[in-house]
Amino acid sequence: MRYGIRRLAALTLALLLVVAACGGDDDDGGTTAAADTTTTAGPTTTIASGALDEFLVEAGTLTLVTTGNFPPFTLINSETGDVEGYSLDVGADVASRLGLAFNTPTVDFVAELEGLQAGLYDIADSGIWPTEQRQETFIFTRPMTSAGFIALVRAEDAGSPGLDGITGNAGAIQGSIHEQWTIENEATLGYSEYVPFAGAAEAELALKQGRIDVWVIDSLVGAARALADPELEVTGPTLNAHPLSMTFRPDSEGLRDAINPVLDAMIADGTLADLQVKWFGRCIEVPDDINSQPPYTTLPTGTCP
Amino acid sequence: MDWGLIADIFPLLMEATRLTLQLFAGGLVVATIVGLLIALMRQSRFFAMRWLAAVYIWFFRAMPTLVIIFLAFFVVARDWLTFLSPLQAAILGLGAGAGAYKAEIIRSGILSVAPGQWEAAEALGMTPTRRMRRIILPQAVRVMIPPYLSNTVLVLQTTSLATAIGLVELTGLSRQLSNSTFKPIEVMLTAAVIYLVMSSVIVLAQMYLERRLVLKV
Repeated sequence: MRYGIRRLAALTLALLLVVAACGGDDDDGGTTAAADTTTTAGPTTTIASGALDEFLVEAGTLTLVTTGNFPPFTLINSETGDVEGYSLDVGADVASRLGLAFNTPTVDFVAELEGLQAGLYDIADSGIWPTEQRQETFIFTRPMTSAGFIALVRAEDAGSPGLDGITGNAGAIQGSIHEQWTIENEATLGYSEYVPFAGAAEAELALKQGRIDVWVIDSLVGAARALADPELEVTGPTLNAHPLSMTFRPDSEGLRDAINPVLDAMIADGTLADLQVKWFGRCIEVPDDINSQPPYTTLPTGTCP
Repeated sequence: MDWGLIADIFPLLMEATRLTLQLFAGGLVVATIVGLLIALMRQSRFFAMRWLAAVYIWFFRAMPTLVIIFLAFFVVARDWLTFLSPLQAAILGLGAGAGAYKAEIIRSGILSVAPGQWEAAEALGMTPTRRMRRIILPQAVRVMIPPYLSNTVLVLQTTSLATAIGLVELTGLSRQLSNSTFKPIEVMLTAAVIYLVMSSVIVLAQMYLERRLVLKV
């Protein structure tokens, strides 16, 4: 038995060594493209250096987590491998104006909010709608843009009623707010069958292959896809207009309150308009508050084609 | 087929493959050590050890690996083993889950050795350690090789679950690139070829080891 105990002790020690040998926090290659996101540096605010550190996961660094798979809000550049998008550019500008470095890990949507709650990230932002339910768990900045729900269809179905009445099968991304709404409104939408998809790419492929006839999707994402791909069109009305904001843990109120005036400044000096044009091709109405009711009419200051 | 895109993303996917291999190697080593530890505990003459090992196997075989990795990261690494990095937490989760299967594979190998071999070794006055090392394990390993390496291919595949905690390995990056380029077939086929090459290496290792051990036993 003495040999047995020694053997167990040696194995346990070896196990701990293996885990320890697999590197520390600094060599987790997977947590992706970090602080090198290009910033469009605006004026730095007057917040004292280190004043926000108590709210930051890492002192002096703003950590913005996104999924990297919801273009044009967050996507991976297929040539450089960097995460980029509207959310990233807004975050980079905010970090720059606050005099902070910028870190941009990517993670699944469920783990994005879970990780935010667990204190792994400062901000989550993949085009998040501050619904009443989410406002019970998180706090939000003032809106940076607004969106709605729209029907994306094959080009030959352009002009069909869209969300006013779906003929055929409807699809949406699993776990999304669009899925929840589509299922809850089955009777009024009138589709034959609902088909969930793991991601946007799968939903789009299914739409092109005729497996679904309507993809219920965020209006900004849908419009961007229709613009990029001649096989696709948006059709019918845009429903459920809502604001989109950066998301924080409730104990990060100080950070959120520091970022709100920065966003106000970006709206006023035209930076937000420039970023909207860059990623969405046009300016998007920005609600004043996360609980503002549509229709939203205020465009950010700047050059809006 | 967009060959230009495939050429663009191939280096990115190979970079992510490095993380996949780190997860795989770490997970496999942890799983093997855990498996051996649990298999030996299952053979212990002490009831408590046998019981603990049985509970371990029952628990970790019942849990989906995704859940284990999730708990390893969001509970264990956050509240108890706070020194663990995300990579280490994922390796621990992968290894803990696969270790339950490895334990049963190793135990089945040990049990496959004929009782006469145990008795003969004991009759020669061998210590339990020498008996295991010189007589039992060499015979057991040959039986273990096919199921052990089949399970090892599964360990390679389950590394893809680590993307749920922010480790963007091969599958995670493939999904991100699919959704970013809206060309999932090109991206996923490229990733599939890389997985095929990696698992082929394991299959070749199995063939080599089987042939080598047949000659030696």
